Amino acid sequence: MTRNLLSGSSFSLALFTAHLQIALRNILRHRRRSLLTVAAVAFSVFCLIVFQALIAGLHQKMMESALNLDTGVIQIHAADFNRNQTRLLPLANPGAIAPALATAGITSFAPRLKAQALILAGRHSASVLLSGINPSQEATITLVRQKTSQGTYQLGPDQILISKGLAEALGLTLNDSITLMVQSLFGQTRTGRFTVGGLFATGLESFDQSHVYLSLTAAQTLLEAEDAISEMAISCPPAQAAELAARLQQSLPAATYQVKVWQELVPDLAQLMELNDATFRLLILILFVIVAMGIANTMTTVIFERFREFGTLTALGVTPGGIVSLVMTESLLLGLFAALTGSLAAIGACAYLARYGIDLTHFTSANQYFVAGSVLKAILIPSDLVLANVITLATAAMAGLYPAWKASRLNPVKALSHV
Amino acid sequence: MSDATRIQLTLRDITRVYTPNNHQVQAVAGINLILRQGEFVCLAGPSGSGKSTLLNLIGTLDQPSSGTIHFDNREISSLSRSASALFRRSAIGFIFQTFNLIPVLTVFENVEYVLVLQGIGTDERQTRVTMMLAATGLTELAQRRVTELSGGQQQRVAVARALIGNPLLILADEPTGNLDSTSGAAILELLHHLNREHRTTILYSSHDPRIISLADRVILLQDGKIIEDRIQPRGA
Ligand SMILES: Nc1ncnc2c1ncn2[C@@H]1O[C@H](COP(=O)(O)OP(=O)(O)O)[C@@H](O)[C@H]1O
Ligand SMILES: [Mg+2]
Repeated sequence: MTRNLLSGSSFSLALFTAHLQIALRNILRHRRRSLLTVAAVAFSVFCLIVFQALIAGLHQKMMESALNLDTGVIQIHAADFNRNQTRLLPLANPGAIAPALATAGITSFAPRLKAQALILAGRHSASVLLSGINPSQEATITLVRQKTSQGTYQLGPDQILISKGLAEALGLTLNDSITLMVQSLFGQTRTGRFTVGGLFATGLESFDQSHVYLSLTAAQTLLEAEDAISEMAISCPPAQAAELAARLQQSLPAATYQVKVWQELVPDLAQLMELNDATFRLLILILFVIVAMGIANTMTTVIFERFREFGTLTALGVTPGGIVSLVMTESLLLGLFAALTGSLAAIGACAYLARYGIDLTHFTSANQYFVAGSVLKAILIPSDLVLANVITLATAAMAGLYPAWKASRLNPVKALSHV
Repeated sequence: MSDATRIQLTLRDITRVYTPNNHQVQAVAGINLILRQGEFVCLAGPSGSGKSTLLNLIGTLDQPSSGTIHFDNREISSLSRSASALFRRSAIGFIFQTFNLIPVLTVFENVEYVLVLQGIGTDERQTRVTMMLAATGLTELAQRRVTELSGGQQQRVAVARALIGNPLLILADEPTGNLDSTSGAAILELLHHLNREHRTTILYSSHDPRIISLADRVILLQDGKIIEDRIQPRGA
């Protein structure tokens, strides 16, 4: 009889199926332990997905608020503009900007003329930032129109829009007169009289106290700026900002125009979001170290209980690789059950939180990042869901690796005599 | 050379030394032995004489401290873990005193597992396992969990599992040690029958005179050495 005694493979589909069956039945056989392990891991998966969705919702809310208050997603300024300057710096050749916007496919944009001003009302005065705006265009960028509760946002040539807070501080009501004092484009002091045409309240006191609005033409006249503007604000999905900005800068020479995206315009927000992400990653790491220890602990117990079985399998001719695959299969099955139940529960919770949200009013009323509303709603991003499951299975695999390796190195004689 | 006299297994100067707590125990102390294809041999001797150690060495579950073992002219005493696993898979069938079946599998699945390991296709597995269960009187129990069976029934399953892969050598360490005398004798009878039918070499250990008497050849061990090697007329 001739037979190659040392050939054979350590893997086949039938063997994998058999090991899947053995693993599954062992999991079911130790129902309580399996349930506990699966529940602990599923809870981690649940937390991971729900937290991630809440952070996505939080970031969206923060961006909505920060960008919709005034900034927009992209801004165009004159090349040597910087954020803290007081001198009025008009954009060269504003007529060239509209075609550039059209080429880039941008439809939401608003021209502005911004200048420092002093508002005088009887014995009171206040230093403010004056914005000349085109109301119908401006309304596509900011939420000030929605927050205008008295009078009109559609300003006439001698009307001014101020906040309720400022009106109170200056002792003003609707239709009262005020005087604005500015330094014109040519450096001369100029004044103009306006009546309070509208009152707004964003809920963010510091913003409200310092912002007033005229129509663009009224501001241009007051500042002797003819048809100049100092800023073009653009709105678009934040994710597309970088790409659109690059496209804009192609048709607007950098020597003359400065195109900036929201991360550059509100760097503190971008940083805050990055900080959130980093904190969250740390949380995930901790959570999944715990998950890994849980699974590793269960699998170590499993192997200890089944010493004799692994010895038997070795005697029957299962290779070390085969033993590893058997243990890993069991570990991955636990991970898979946990990932499934955790994901399903999380999807349910996210659906609820997307609809009803969590009311954070108590924590956010003094925060510029929650002007758009303080009910936090979950946003479940499909790729995050996939990632959470991949992380879970990878963790289960990692956790199973050491026990699996141990099982494959067992001395079969000792394992077989183990009681 | 005819099969009847073909040398299958050769042990040369085999020793196995254990060193528990820094003192040496010679479990096997210089054994030379030849087994021919188709023999039905009992390894006899009192407890602690080295029977299990020797069977484990022959079965490549353990490696000798010195000496060599050849199986069909191939050295098997220093194989790697993977190579020895593949060798056992195709050449050796084990039967243990404590049965060692896979508890979560049915009778059928326990026996079938060996064929799965050998890469045999589904249809052939089905046929061969069905025939083997019939030959070992287990047809009725095929779908039962092995944990529900009596000791004698479990050892029948173990015999079926050891034989199903058509091994060249069956190693059985005290196969009747956990059985009552009737079941024990029945298992031995089954092994004897299969030995005659398939000409599979069978080497089993025992310290029970009645079980020893059923062998064609008895190798008597004491303190890790062979003190007697005799052919006896077919027993029972
Ligand atoms: N793992 C081990 N460590 C130390 N000594 C051992 C070990 N296994 C067996 N022995 C010793 O080797 C000798 C032979 O044991 P064994 O082969 O089990 O004998 P038998 O199977 O004939 O009862 C005994 O003295 C036993 O104590
Ligand atoms: Mg023994």
